[in-house]
Amino acid sequence: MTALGVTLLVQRDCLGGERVVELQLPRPVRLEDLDVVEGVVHREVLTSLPRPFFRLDVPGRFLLTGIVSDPRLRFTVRMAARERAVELALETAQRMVAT
Amino acid sequence: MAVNNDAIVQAVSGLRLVGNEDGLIPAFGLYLTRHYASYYNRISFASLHAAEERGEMEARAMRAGLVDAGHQCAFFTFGGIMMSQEWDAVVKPMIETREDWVRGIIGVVNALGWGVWKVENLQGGKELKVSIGNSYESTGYLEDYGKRASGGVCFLATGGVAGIMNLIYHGDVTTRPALDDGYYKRLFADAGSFTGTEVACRAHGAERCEIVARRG
Amino acid sequence: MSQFEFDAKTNVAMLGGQSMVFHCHHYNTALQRAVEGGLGAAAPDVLTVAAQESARLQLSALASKGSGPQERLAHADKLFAELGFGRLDFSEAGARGGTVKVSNSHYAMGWVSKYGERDTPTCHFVSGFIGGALAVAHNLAPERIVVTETRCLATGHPACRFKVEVL
Repeated sequence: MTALGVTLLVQRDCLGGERVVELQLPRPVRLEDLDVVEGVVHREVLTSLPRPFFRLDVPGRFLLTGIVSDPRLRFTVRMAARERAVELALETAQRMVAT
Repeated sequence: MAVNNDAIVQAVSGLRLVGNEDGLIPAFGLYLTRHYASYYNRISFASLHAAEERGEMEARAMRAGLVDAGHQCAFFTFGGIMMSQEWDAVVKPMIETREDWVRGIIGVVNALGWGVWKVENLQGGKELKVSIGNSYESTGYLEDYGKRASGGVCFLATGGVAGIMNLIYHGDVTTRPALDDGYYKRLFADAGSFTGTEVACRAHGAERCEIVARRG
Repeated sequence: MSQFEFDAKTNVAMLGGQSMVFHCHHYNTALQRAVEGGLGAAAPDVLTVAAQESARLQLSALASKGSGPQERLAHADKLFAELGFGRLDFSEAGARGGTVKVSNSHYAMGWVSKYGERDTPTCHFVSGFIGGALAVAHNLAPERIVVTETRCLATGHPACRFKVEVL
């Protein structure tokens, strides 16, 4: 667990070397947390669902998916950034928690 | 809350499942492609016909190989989907019973471009009968070869329906098991595993294709 | 982004006259393995020709009227990526042939991920797609285009390369 209470749940390799990092925040994700993720080119938040699912695509870095009101986050980190996968995911998660 | 097939189809088909700048589509914890139905059909049926020319034993082995590809599709794709965040967001809130897991994954299948899958009969733990309208396999067969003299051609669907039952009733995907080779073997090679049979196929003149999965 | 037409009555998704279905690398590679096992030496041709025909028909239907070869090849790369197959680099290929480089080939990475490395190249689908794209871009009969994978990620090379000959 990090200083801001973010927990690393899973990290594993994916097809061809992308890396999946799953984290748990100390509290459920809020809609406004998504605004602090930097470099988002495609933002999809399906607020019509019973549990709003979101996908934030940051080219060259990662795809971040999760559910608003759920504390778990999944980062699918691009091959180009795989060496920094956990660091990138933790940085982003901590920024979200700090809002 | 009952499983709402139309709501699932609308939600899943509305996801922006498109390749990123690396040309990959990560979704449901998997890497997807949006592929040509015609490609799958032509390579499958060329293999089937070549095997049929060599005799019944070869044909049986080829059909088994094509169905096994469907088992792998079900195990990894359906299994991955049922353990994904997308599932948790879209389908899980509708689930009350184990049978709802079957109806939920059928709802997701209906967003994959594979035709209209419908649960005709579900006896939990015993049997699943699914009918399929516009199955892409039968459509492709009819387009390229016309009506078939005997036997069905929906191999992916046959493996897929068996896979759904194996994931939900032979194994237990609801406990989020690791989808590894050992679990695959246990689910598909046990004496009590479900196997699929195509009992009606549009390529053989039926109105809809029908697959039944029962324990072997 | 390409506009897929999803018919909610038939649950069929169309793009450029082709029915498109979702599948992941487990099915794609397992099916290819079954086909290769069944057809043996004839498999590469069957796989390549099937891919070429599907891609050629679709790219032809989607091509903008009056567009030139470079624009059409750029569109082929964009579509290939959107469909999840990787990235195509046509910069060293023209109407008389050349070389095409492919990065992140779904088939090669999928094969290695599922079965490990193999002795022969695996990207027959990609060979066909490249042939279809070049046929549409340069208005060539598809039978004149021969695409051979000379390096493949699945045989231990860092990336996939294809030799293109125009007969």
